[in-house]
Amino acid sequence: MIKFILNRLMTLAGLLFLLSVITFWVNVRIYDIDLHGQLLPEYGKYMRNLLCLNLGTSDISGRPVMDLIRDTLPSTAGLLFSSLMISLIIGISCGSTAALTIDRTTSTVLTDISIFAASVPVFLIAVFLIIAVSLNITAIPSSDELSYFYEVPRITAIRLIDILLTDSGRKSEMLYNCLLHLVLPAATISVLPAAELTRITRNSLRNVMRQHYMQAAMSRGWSVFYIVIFHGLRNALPEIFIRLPVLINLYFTAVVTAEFVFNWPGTGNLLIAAAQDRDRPVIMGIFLFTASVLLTLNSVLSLLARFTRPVTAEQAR
Amino acid sequence: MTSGTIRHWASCLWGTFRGRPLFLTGLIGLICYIIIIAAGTLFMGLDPYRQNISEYFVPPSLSFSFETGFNRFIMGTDDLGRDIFARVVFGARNTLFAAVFAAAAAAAVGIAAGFAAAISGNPVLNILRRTMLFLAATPSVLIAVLMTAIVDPSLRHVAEAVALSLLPGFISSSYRIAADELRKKYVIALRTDGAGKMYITRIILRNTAYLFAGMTARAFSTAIIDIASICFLGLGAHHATPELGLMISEGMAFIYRGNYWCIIFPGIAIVSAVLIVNIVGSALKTAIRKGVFENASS
Repeated sequence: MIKFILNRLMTLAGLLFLLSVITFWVNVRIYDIDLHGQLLPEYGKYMRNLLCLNLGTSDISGRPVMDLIRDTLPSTAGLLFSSLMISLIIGISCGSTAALTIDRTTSTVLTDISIFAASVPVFLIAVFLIIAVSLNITAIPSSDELSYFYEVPRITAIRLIDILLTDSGRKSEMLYNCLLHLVLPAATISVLPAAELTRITRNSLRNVMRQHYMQAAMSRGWSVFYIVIFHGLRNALPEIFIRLPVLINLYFTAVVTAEFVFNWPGTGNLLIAAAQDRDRPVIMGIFLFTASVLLTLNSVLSLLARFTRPVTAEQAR
Repeated sequence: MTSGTIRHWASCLWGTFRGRPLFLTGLIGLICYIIIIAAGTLFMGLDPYRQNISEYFVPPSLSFSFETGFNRFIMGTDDLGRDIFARVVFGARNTLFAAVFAAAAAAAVGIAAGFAAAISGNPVLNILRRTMLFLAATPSVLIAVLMTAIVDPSLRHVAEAVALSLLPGFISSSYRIAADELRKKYVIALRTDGAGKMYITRIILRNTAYLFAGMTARAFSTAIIDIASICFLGLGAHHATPELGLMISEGMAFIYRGNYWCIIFPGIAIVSAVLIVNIVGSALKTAIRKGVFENASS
C-alpha cells in the first residue's frame, strides 16, 4: 500500500517537474530569454518565482496574476460545486435506473438520450438554453453572477455563502436572485457529465448486478433500493473512479465554455479573455495552476480507485 | 488483393448495414454530407466571403416567385449579407478537414508508439507510456490556450492542439490492447514457432484493427466537437474564416433580435456530423471484425 502511494507521489512529482520544464521552455520562447550557457541558473530563477507563488503581473490590468486567480476562483468553485452535485445526482440515479431496467424501454430510452447528449458540444447546449429558457422566461437571466442592484460584502468570496452571512433586510430576495443566475450555467455544465455518468454507472452497475452475491442478496428479500445503494453502487465505485478522468476533461471544457457564454466572473472567463487579448503572463499563470490541479486530481482519483478495490489495483499496478 | 477478398469485404460491409435502420441512416447521411460539401465547395460557385450589404438578415426560405426565381439564400443571410448556406458548406469542410487531420495524426502516432512500447518492452518507451496514462485527461482547450501564448491562433494550430490532446489516450489504450493480445495463446504459439517481432505485430494489428477503427471514429467525433468549441471561444480560426463554431459565436449576438437561422444551421451541421461519424464508426467496427474473423475461420 505504502509502495503504491509512494509510486503515485513519485509519478506526480515527475509530471509536475515536466510541467515546469514545459512552461519554462514556453517562457523562453515568448520572452526570447538568452540561454547562452546558463540554462540551469535561468531555470532556478524561474522555479524560485514559482515556488514563491509569484506568477508575474498581467500585461493588461497590471495586477499580479495570483491576485486575479484568487479573485475569480471562488466564483468558479461555487459554479463547479453546484453543477457537480446536479450531475452526480442525475447521472447516478439515471444510470442505476437504466441498469436495473435493462432490456426494457426505460433503459433503452435513457441510454439513447445519453448517447445523443454526448454528441452535442457544450456551447450548443448553452446557446439552446438561452434561446429556449432565457428568452421565454425573463426572470431567468443569461449573464453574470448577481444582479447589479444588490451589494454583497465580500467575506468568503463565494456569493451564495456571502449572502447567507449578511444581515441585510433583502436577504431572501438576494438569495433568490443569486440562485436564478445559477440556473442556466449550472444546467449547461451538468448535461454532458450527467450523460457520461449515466453510461458509466449503467455499465458498471450492470456488471455488479450479475454477480452471485447480488443474486444472493436479492433472494434474501431485501428491498431493491437498499441492495442497490449499499451493495450495488459500493461495488460499482472502482469502475466509476477509473473512468472519472474523462469526466474531469468534460467538466473543464464545460466550465470554461459556460463561463464564457454566460459572462460568469470566474477563472475560465479570465483565461479566455486573456487568451483573446494575448495577455501572456495571465495565460501562463492560469495554465500552470490548472494543469497542476488536474494532474493532482488524476493522482488522487487513481489512489481512490486503488482504495475502493484493492485486489485489481494490485494487479493493474 | 484478389477479387475473392474484395468480394468477401463487400459482403461483410453489406451484411453489417443490411437490415439495420440506424446504420443505414448513418450511411445515407454520410453520403449526403459528402455530396453536399463536394458540390458546394467545388461546383456550385458559392462564395462564403461575398457580402451583399443590401440583403442583410434575409430569413431562410424555399420560396419561389416568377419575377425573381428561386430564393437565392435557402439558409438566409447574416449581418453582412453573406450567404449562410455557403458559409455552412465551407465551414463544415474546414472543420471536418481539421478534425480528420487531428484524429488521423493522433491515431497514427499513438498506435505506433503504444505498439512499440508493448512489443519491444523498451523501458524508456514504457516510462513514456506511464506518463501518458496521467496526461490522458488533458483538455484540448487548455492546450489550445497555451498555444495562443506561443503562436498566432489559426485553424491549423487548433488541429495540432486537438491532436496533442487525443494522443495520450491512443498511446495508453493501444499499449493495453497490444499487451492483452501478447498474453494470448496464439501469440505464444507464434513465438515458439520462431516468428519475428514484425510478423507478430502484423498479426496483432490485423486482429485488433476493429478496435482501432472504433477508437479512431470516436476520436474523430471528439475532434469535431473540440475544434468547434475552441473556435467558438475565439481561440482558433480568424474572424472572417467560415468555421462552424465561429459562426455560432458570431451569431450569438443576433439571437436576441430573433435571427435564429444564423446559429441553427451551423449547429445542425455540427451535431449531424458527430452523429454520422459515431454511427458509421460503430458500423465499420462491426464490419471489420466480421471481415477479419470470418475470413480466418473459412
